[in-house]
Amino acid sequence: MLALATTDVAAGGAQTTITVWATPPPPVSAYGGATYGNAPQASGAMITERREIDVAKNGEVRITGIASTMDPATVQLRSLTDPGGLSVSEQRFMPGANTPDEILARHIGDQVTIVTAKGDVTGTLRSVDPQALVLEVGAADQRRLQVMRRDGYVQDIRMPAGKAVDKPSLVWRLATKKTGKHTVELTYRADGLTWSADYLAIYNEAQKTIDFSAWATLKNATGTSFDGAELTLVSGGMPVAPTPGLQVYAHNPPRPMPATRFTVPTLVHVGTGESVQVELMPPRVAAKTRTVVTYEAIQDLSANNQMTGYLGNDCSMLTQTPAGQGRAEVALEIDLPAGKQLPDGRVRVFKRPAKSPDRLEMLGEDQLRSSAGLARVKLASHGELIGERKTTCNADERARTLTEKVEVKVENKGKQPIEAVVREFMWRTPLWRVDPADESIRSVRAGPQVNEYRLTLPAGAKKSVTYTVVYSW
Amino acid sequence: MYRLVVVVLLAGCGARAPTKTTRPLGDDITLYRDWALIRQRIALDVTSASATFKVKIPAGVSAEQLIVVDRGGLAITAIHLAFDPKKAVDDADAATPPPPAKPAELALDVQAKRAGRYSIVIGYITNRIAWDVAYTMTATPERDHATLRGALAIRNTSGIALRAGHARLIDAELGPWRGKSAEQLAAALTGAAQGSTPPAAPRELGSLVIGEGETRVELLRASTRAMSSVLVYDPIGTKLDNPGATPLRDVRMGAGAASSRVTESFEVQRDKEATAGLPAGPVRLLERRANGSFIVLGESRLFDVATRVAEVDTIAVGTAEGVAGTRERRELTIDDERHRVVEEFVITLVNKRPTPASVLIREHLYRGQNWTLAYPQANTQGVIASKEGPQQISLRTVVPARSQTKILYVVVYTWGQ
Repeated sequence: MLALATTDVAAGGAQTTITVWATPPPPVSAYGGATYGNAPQASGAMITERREIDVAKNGEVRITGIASTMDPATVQLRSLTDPGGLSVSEQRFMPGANTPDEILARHIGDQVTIVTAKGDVTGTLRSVDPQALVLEVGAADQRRLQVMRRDGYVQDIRMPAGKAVDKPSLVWRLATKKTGKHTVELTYRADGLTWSADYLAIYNEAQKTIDFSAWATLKNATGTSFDGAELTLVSGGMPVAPTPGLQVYAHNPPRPMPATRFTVPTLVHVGTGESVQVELMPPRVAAKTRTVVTYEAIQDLSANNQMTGYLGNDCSMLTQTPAGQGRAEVALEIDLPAGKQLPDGRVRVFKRPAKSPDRLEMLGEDQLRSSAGLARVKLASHGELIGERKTTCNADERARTLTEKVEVKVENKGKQPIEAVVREFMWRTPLWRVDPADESIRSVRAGPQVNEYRLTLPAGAKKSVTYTVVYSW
Repeated sequence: MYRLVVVVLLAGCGARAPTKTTRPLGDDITLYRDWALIRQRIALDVTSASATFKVKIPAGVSAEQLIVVDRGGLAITAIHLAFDPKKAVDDADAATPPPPAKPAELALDVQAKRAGRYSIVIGYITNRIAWDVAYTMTATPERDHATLRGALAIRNTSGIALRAGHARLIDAELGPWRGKSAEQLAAALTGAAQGSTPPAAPRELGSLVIGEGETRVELLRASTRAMSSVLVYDPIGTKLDNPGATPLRDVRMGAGAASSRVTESFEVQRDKEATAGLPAGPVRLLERRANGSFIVLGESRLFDVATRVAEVDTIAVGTAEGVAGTRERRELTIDDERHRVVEEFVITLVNKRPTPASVLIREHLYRGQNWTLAYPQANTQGVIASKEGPQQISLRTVVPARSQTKILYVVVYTWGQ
């Protein structure tokens, strides 16, 4: 029987808190993903643990049960027992020993017993390599070194396991006036902890509603387990210094994507080599849904133009998109409570058919599109909404601005009215603005470089969206 | 008799309740060509406010594939599943079904407001349930009727036995099928036009126990259909079929010399209701002799996508002596501006026999799936045209004795209109 405790965060207070950054989604780029000068996404996890340690007189402390993937340069130690009175004067990170030779090497200097065909030999292990080992045996003037071949002669090696020297460990020499027990807070960054968002949308064909749930899948490949951990999951970037070699192009530091944080409401056991799924929000059951047809006249090239100091300033690019070149898709939308924005992730879409609601039919798997208060699930391409797009553009090198006037014409060639959402990508640089006075329809910002224009198109109707966007660098 | 064994252990912590076992209530399984979609129902006896249960699921299922379909009134605070960080590719990405393996084990952390029995449903896909199908047709000595039988062989290497309250089979790969289903729903929601060839219909298998190893399932009761002999001229076959919506515009496509062989065949009427959703597979046409032994008259395939809406199935048994055909393309017009490709063919059938020959001509509209037959319409000049599948038509005619007949047809492909 297995005992896994789940304790309320509020009730207990976590001994371990872990902040994990989302696994970045694969770059989407029309031209091969050259995100030139882009700020790298934060990754991995920050782990904070509260521990009891016993500081010896020589100040040495060894702790195990830490991530084998830790970055030793990020370790911070703080005594809660004696704040300000304890500091690290020396730190060594001992990675875990995995192979038999590595484990043997960690026991050099220990008493070991070698089992041979001629009997057991006990002594101090002095040296080891794949072919032989050296044992110091005897005492006083009887002391001698014995070299033993490991191929055939050595049958077994017995050694103490209690010191945990083969596990990943931190060895400190601490400076403190107070030896003995301390409660300390240990913080470090580690790789090997990742998470991604997975969504489930079940469309009820008879009721025209959706059951929608959001899950986070956390994977622990750190080599250690965390029990009763308070988890915070972060999606989006955090400020990271750009690659030094690219500084010359970056007049302004890259702007991070706004981060979304989510704290799991219960303490969670995160076992080593384990995936853990937790819900990102309470499921929405029988949520009302809207059918929309999204229209994208151009591909999103934003990923190629992420530097705020370096603009995609070729005014001849994407100036004219003829009819039939854009992409129209039918999608289902649901509203999210309190203007919530969900992290990027995969959504699986199912249908409960009207004729047999007990059955589940899979409809698709795609990236969820979420903006503040809205989640959108793609169904299929739509052949009856067509459009064309024209732009005029003017770059002002002195003012460091580029002004682009855009007109998107859409036509509903179908026999039913549709609610269309024209998605426009402000792809040239993350620094842009659209003056509402210059828009024919009020837009909604749907992402760092996406604006959406919503309009109802009766059967056979044509409509236009116009706006002016000003980029700056 | 196989039994599904779902081991559920109640995790004890402090004063938590003792372990309770559960009785499965019945899973729901949909078998596709490449994957099986499984909804696994799990009964949990919850006796304390929070508990952890262990559940066996098929080997190779990763956490990302898991979905919680129905919480059954419980709050599921976390789902734990082991993964191998050294394994670069999940089973989900594997091209071929993997060998048998131990099942994976889920740990479910749940919270309940009150003690009781709860039923939750989880879902996942697995490529460890593979299947094949085979048919036989047994002809009467008069060769005027045939009895169709079919059986499904399901191989389960998931490590657990599955007891499906409801199981069905869909003769398509999951990706294309779900795409078609999504297209249909999207079209229904927006009033857009739908394709004339429906996606593969699900074949209900009823309740089913799929134990580890191989399970054989009868697909249909033996049913007798009218059978008759017919000559079939199918000079191209399905080898050129392009399943895309936009037609291929290669001028040489299908314009080369075609086979002149006409086959002696048997055609067997299809019972649309009884055969709806049956998967494609090989068929052997057998004849029972007077002494009770069987001889094989011919082999073919039944219910392929190409013949999804056909009225009859044909099984070739040899070459027709004295009857031959030729196929000639008369015209090809590619109009990129109006998004149209027009292609005209003439089929010539020569009958040297002293009696009239009834011939079924099978033509494949291989350039793409958006097409219209401009000529002949349904029944023109004694030629009966009918659609057999998304890219296949049949044209029936009778060639008089010692004579020849020419049949012209015109197909118009369109795209992006």
